[in-house]
Amino acid sequence: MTLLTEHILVAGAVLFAAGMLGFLTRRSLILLFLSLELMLAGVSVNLVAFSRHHDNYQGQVFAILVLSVAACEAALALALIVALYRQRPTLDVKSWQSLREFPGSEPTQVDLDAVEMMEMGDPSLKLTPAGKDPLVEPMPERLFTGIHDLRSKKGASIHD
Amino acid sequence: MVILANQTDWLYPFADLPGWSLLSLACGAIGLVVLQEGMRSSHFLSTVGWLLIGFAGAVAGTHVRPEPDQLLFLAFSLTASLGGIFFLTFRQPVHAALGFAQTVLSMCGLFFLQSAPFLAAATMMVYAGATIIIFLFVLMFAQRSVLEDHDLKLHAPRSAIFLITIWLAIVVRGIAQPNVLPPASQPDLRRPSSNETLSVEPSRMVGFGKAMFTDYLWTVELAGSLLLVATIGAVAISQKLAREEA
Amino acid sequence: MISLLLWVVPLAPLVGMLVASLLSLTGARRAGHYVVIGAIGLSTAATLLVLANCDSGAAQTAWGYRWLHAGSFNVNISLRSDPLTLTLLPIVTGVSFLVACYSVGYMTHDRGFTRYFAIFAGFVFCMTMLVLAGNLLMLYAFWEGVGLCSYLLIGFWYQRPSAAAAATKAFLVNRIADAGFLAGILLLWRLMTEVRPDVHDEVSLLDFGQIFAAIGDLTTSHPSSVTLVGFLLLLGAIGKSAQFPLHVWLPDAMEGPTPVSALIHAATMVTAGVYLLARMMPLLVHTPAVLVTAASLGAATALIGAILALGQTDLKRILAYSTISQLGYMFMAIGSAAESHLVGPAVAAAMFHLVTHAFFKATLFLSAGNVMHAMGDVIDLRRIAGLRQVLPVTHGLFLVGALALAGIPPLAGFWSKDAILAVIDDATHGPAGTIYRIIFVIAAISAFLTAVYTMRAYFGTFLGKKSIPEEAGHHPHEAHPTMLIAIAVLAGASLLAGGILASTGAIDRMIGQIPSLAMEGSHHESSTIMILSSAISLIGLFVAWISMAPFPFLASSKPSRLWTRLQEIGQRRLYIDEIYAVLFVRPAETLSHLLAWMDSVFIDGMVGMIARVPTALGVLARQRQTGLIPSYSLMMVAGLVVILYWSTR
Repeated sequence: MTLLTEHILVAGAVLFAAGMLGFLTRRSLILLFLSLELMLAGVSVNLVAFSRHHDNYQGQVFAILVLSVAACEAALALALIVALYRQRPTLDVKSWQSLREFPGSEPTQVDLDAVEMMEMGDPSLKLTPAGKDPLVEPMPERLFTGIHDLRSKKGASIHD
Repeated sequence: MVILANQTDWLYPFADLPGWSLLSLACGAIGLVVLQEGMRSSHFLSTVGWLLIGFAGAVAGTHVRPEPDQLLFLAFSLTASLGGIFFLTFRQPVHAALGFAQTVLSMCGLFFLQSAPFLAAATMMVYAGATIIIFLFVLMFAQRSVLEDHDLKLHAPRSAIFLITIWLAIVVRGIAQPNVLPPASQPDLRRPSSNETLSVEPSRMVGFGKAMFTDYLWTVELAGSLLLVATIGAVAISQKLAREEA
Repeated sequence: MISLLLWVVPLAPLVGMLVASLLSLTGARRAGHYVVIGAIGLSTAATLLVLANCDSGAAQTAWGYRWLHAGSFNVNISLRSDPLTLTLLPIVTGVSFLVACYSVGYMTHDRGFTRYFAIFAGFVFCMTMLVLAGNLLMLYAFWEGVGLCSYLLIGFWYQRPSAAAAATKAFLVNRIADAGFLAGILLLWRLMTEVRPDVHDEVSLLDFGQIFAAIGDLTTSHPSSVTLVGFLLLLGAIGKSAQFPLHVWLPDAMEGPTPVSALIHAATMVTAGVYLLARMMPLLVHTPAVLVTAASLGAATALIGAILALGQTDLKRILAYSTISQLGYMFMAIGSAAESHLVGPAVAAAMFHLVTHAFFKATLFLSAGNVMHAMGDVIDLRRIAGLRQVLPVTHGLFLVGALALAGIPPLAGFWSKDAILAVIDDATHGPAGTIYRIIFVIAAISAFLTAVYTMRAYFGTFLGKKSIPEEAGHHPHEAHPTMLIAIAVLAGASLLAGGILASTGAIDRMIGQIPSLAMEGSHHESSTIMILSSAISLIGLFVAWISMAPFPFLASSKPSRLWTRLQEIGQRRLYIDEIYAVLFVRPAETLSHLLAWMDSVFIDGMVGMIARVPTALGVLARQRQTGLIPSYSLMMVAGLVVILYWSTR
C-alpha cells in the first residue's frame, strides 16, 4: 500500500486544527500569530498533497503564495504588536478588550434625525391642538435650534 | 424540516467513521485537555495526558501498514503533531515557539515526500529561518522573565478542544469517504498550459520554475508587490507611533 | 347655450376658490376677495340669464362627463335645471353675492381674510352643484361638500376652543344624518336595479329623471322599501336642516363669522334638507307616513325652536333658534303634501317660505353682525340696549327684518307663513286630519312665539336706555356703507318680495310647471287664516312690548315665575344636550376609553413586545461581545463546524 493523498490531507487537517486550537486558547499576542502561521502551514501541506495528486505544479505555486502572504502577515503583525506594546507593556489579549464597543462608548457617528425624533417627538405627528394658534409657536424654528444645539453638544462630547 | 424528519442520520454524524479513528480522536482530545491542565499544575496529570495522546497515536498508527515511504510519512507527521502539542501546551512562550519550529521543519519533510523540494527549502528558510527568528526576537523584547497570568492560563480550553475535535472528525470523515478525490494520476483537465508534470524526475525544479514564471507570472508578481506593500506598511505603522510618542 | 350658462353657475365659484386658495398661500392678502366676488357675481348673472331664458317647465340637463362606470352602476356628472332648481338657484347665488360683498367689510381686519373667501367660494360652488345636481349621488357628494365648507367656516377661528368644538359637533351630528341619507341612496339604487334589470349601458339609474320615471314600478313592486327609502332621505334632510332631534348643532354653529351664519346657517345650506324633500317629492308622494313624520317633526322643531329662542339672551343665538323654528315651518309645509292635490301647493308654500326666509334672516344676521362689529363682539341682550341712536341705519334694517320674521303684514314673512298655514289647514281635511289639526295649532302658537322673541330681540337691542359695553371702545360707529348697502338690498327684498311673489303667484306658477307637482285648480286665498295670522303676530308684538318696555308699573314688579323658568330652560336648551350626553355621548366615551385602554395595553403591548424581542436578543448578543479575539473566533469556529457539517453530510 503506497502513501495515499488522504493520509497527507489528514496530517494537514491535524496541523490546521492545532493552529486553530492555539488561536482559540493561547492568550499571548505573539503566540496567536504563530497559531495563524500554523494554520497556514496546514493549508500548505494540503496544497502540496493536491499538487502531487494532480501531477502538476498548481498547488505548489499556490503554496508559495501562501508562504509570501504568511511572511507579510508576520511582518505586519509584529509591527502592530510592537506598536501596541508601546502603548501598554503587556502581551495579554485581554488587556485590549476595551477596544470593543461597550455601553458608554457609543459610536461617534450619530443619526441626528433619529436622536432629535426621540428627544422632541415626531414633529410630523404633532397637530396644532384645537383652540391654539399654530403661528404663535413657530414649530420649525424651534426644531432647527434643537438640531443646532444637539450638533454642538455632540461635537463637544466627541472631542472630549 | 422535511429533511430533518425524513433522514435521522444527522443525529449520528460520525456513524460512517471507523471506530478506531473515533477512539483515536477522542483519546487525543481528552489527553490534550488533561495535558494542558497538567503542564500548569502537576506532573501526574501531564503524564496521564501524554499517555492518552500516545495511546491515541498508537491506535491511529497501527492502522497504517509500515511500508518504507509510509514510515517516513509517519515519522514526519508524528514529529509535526508533537510540535503542535508542544506549541499548545508549553507555558513558556519561547518553548512554544520552538514547538512551532519543530512542526514547520517536520512539515518540510512532508514536502520532500510530496516531490516539492524547492518548497521545502523555501519553507525552511522563510518559516524556520526568518519568521521564527523575528518572533523569537519580539518575544525576547516583550517577554518578562517571570511567567505572567496570560502565559499560564488558557482561554476556554475545553470548549475549544471540544469544538475542534468535532471539526476534525467532520473533516476526517469527509476525507475518508470513497471517491472524494479523483483517481490519482489521471489526466487533469485543469492542467496549465506549460504542461509540466511532477513525474519527469530530472527536471523537477525546472518544471516548477517554468510553471511559476510562465503560467503564474502575474500571480507571483502580485505576491511580490504584496510583500513590498507589507514592508512599507510595517515601517509606516512603527514610524507613525514613534512620532506620536515623541 | 343654456347648458353652457348652467355650467358657468358652479364653475365660476370653483375657479374663484382655486385662485383665492393659491393667493392665500402667497400671502397676497388683499386680492383674493375681488376674484371671489367677481366669480360669484358672474355666477349670479348666469343664473339670472338662465332664469330669463327658461320658458317651459321641462327639465333641462347639461351633460358633463361620466364619473363612475362599473357594470350597471353608472353615474354621470350632469346638471339638471327645472323650475324647482330655478326657484332656489337665484337665492343661493344672489344672497351669496350680497353676503360676500358684506364680508369684505366685516372680515377686513381678520388674518384669515383670503382663506375666508376661498372657503366661501368653495361653499358657493358646492351649494350650486347641490342644487343643480342631475342625480342623487352627485347631490349627496355636494351635500357633503357644503357640510365640509360649513365645518371649515364654523371652525374658522380655530384658535377658539369653542369654535373648534362647535365645528366638530356640527360635522358629527350631520354625519349621523348623512349615513342615513347614503343608506337611502344605496337602497334606492338597489330597488332601481330590480325594477330596471336590463337597463342600457349609458343610463345612470340614479338620475332624477330615471327615478321619477320608475316610481310607478317601484311603488307597486316594493312599497315598504320605498317607504324606508323615504324615511332614510328624511333622516338626511332633518340633519342638514337642523330639525328635531338633530337640531343641536345649529345654535353652536354661530361660533363662525356672522356673514357665514347669515349665508350658510340661515339662508342656504340649512335649506338643503327642504330642497331634498321637495326634489324627491314625486317619490315621497307615495309614502304618506314619511310626510306626516316630516310635518310632525317640523311642528315639534318649530315649537322647540321658538321656546328656546325666547329663553336666549345672545342675539345671534336667538336668530339661530329662530332659523331652526322657521325650518320647522318649511318641513310642516312639505309634510302637508300627504294628499295628491296638495302636493303642488305644499311644495310651493315651502319654497316660498324658503325664499322669504333667506331674505329676512340674512337681513337680521347681517344687521346683528353690524351690532357685533360696533359693540366689540358683545351681543348679550343684558349688556346692550338703546342702540337706536348709535346705529341708526342698522336699526332700520333690523326692524324690517324683524317685522318680516314676526309675520307682520305686508312684509315677506307674513305672506309665506300665511301660505304654509293655509296648506296645513287644507291638509286637515285629509285622512290624517287629526294630526294636521294639532300641527296647525302648534304652527299658530309658534307664529305667536316667533313674533314675541323677534320683537323682544329688537326692543332689547335698539330701544330703551342706551347701554354700551366697554368692549365697544370710545366711539362705536356704524358699519361701512358697502355693508349697509348689501343689507339694504336684502331688507328691500324682505319688505317687498313677499307681497310681489304672493300677488303674482310666481312661485306657484314655477312649481306648478313641474309635471308631478301640478297645481290642481287655483290656490284658494283664505281670508280667515290671513286675519288669524296677522292677529297672532300683532298680539305677539304687543306681548313683547309689554315684557320689555320700561313701564314704571312693570319695572317695579318682579319678573314672573314663568318667565324666569323659561329663561332657565332656554339657557339650558331644553336639556336636550344633556339628554344626548347621557344617552349617546357618555356611552360612546366609555367605550372609547375602554378601547383606548385596550389599545394602550394590548395592542401597544404587543407592538412593544415585538420591539423588545430584538432588544432582548441584542442584550444576549452583547454579552458575547467581549472584545476578546479568542471568544470571537470560538464563535466563528462553531459556525464553521455547523456549516462544514451541513455541507459535507
